[in-house]
Amino acid sequence: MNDKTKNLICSGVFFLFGAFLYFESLSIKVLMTKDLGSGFFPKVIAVSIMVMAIVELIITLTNKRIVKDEKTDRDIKGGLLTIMCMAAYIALYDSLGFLLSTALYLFFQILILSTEKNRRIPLFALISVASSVVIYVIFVYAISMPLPTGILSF
Amino acid sequence: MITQALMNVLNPSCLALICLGVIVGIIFGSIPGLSATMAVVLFLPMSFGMEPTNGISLLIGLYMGGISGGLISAILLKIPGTPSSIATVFDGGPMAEHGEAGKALGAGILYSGLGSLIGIIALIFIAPYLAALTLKFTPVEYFSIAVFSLSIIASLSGDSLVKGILSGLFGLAIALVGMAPIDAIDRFTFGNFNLLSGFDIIGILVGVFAVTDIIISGFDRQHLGDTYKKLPYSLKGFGITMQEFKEQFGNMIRSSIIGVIIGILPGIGGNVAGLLSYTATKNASKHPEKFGTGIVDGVIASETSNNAVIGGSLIPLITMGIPGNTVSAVLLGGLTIHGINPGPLIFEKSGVYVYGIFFALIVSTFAMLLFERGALRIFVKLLDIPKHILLPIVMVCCAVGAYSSNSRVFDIWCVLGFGLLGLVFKMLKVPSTPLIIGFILGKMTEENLRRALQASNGDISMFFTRPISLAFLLTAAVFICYVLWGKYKGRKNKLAEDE
Repeated sequence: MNDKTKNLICSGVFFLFGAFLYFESLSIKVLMTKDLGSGFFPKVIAVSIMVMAIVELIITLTNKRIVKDEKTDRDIKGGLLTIMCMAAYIALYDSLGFLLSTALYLFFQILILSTEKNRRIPLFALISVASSVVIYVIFVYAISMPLPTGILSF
Repeated sequence: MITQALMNVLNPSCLALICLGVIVGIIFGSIPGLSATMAVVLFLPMSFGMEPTNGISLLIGLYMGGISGGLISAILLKIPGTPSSIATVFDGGPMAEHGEAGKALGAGILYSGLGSLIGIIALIFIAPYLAALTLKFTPVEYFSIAVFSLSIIASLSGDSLVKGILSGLFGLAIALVGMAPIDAIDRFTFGNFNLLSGFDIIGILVGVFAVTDIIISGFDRQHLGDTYKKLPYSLKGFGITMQEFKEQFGNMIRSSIIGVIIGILPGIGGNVAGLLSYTATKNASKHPEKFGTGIVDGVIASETSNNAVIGGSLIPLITMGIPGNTVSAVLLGGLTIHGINPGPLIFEKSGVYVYGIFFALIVSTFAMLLFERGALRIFVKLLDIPKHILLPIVMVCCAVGAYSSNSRVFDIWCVLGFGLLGLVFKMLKVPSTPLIIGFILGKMTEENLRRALQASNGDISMFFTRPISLAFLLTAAVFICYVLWGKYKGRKNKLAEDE
């Protein structure tokens, strides 16, 4: 994806966001006399976003400087796995409890980020369990900040 | 009265509490997702049972340590540990990459201490005079201050000014979510009660500044091992020579003045102070192009200023009961519980405690210098942990930090959501710092605009006829023109070079 495509996507996305914001603020009523109402400021922002998105579009279309294609060696699989791992962690945070969900998350996330060269599974397992316990003890016992206990109730 | 206050603070139990506060504060400040605010909030209930000077000294130690501790992760992890140290990342991160982690840390700690001291001096000497002036501020002035603060987006936009403005507007837009100011109508919550109080600043900061980077490390996992190197680090004293200290003197004074002023102005915290003085130092520098590549001036500007905010923010807090930022709002709660009522009469009614606060601030500044510098070796050891192990642990701390403010899993989802937003912004090359500034100033801008127009029956002329308001608006306009002119000249030079 070159810079021009990026800028075009950028102005498109922001314009749609501005339009959506404007549409949503139309239904906000003015409750008090002499007040601008809670819909006024959102409309100002929405219109500004749309105007700036159009300015960005014009700048991109009139810019004649050639933009080279960027070479990327992004590891799409690693990124998507990381996002999925985080989402699974949050989804299980309450039901499994902090200790279990955190130990599992840490183990899989460390595994995803490691390479074949530095992959040491027993060490990863140990670190995952130890860090979860240490964080849990500090928060729950030392500063009495409750964390979800989930299925392990102690 | 002053001697009594000094005796109270120098009492061994009070000194121990200040040291405890500073150490815990540094830990909270340095772990991304945990902030100075959170440290003060967590210890607030504990301080209620203590003798007033002890309780308040503990909270002040936490505040001091928390604001300063953020620089450690800002430099070593390139993630601001606490919102105040956002601007420290800009140059502290690159310095660490160039093997100057020690110098960045040393200078950061030293200037945090100096900034704090200047802030405290300002608090002690100018509080009564400024109280008289700020007492006259109306929503008109506050709105103009917000506009002035928003204008700094222009200079933080990087290559594309338009994308920077879009990012700032987006920040203003997400600040709209939740109950509206004045009439409390719920806006853009889409029926989700979790959104009634709006998005939490901690969630946005942790998402955009920490989670985005962790996700990117997933996309970049093959290179995670090679970019990691144990950075050579040697540090004697504070890493700053006498010559450098003399060169940075102007920077220090300018940044602390900015910090104190931002601290005094309600609604704007250490993060904006750090960004403003970073920009001011960059614009005043003879070599602005070096900023962002790892130059000690940037670290000094940010760290001096965010610590000077502490003293500054206590000026309106003590004299008028107006909290300058979130931490001082929590401190206000602490003061009232102990029967200390902030206001013009506080010196007559609770003088012992007020002087106690002054002494506690001075003692905690030195405790901060001592512990943060003394234990620096331990903090630098953080770099020994490989990134593929450290980053997941940081993610867990982010989740705990987000969860603990309200005990809601919803807040952790927000962190992930903002992390993904940060990723999209990075992919589209939209800067994310303006988003934060827009978000922070959103509510203040809208509320004061509406209040001012209510009071004037919709007449906008008072923004230009009231001198303080006009001064802020003019400064904002001049600043934007200055940045635009700089960009225009830069582009012209670039075109000339291309040809």
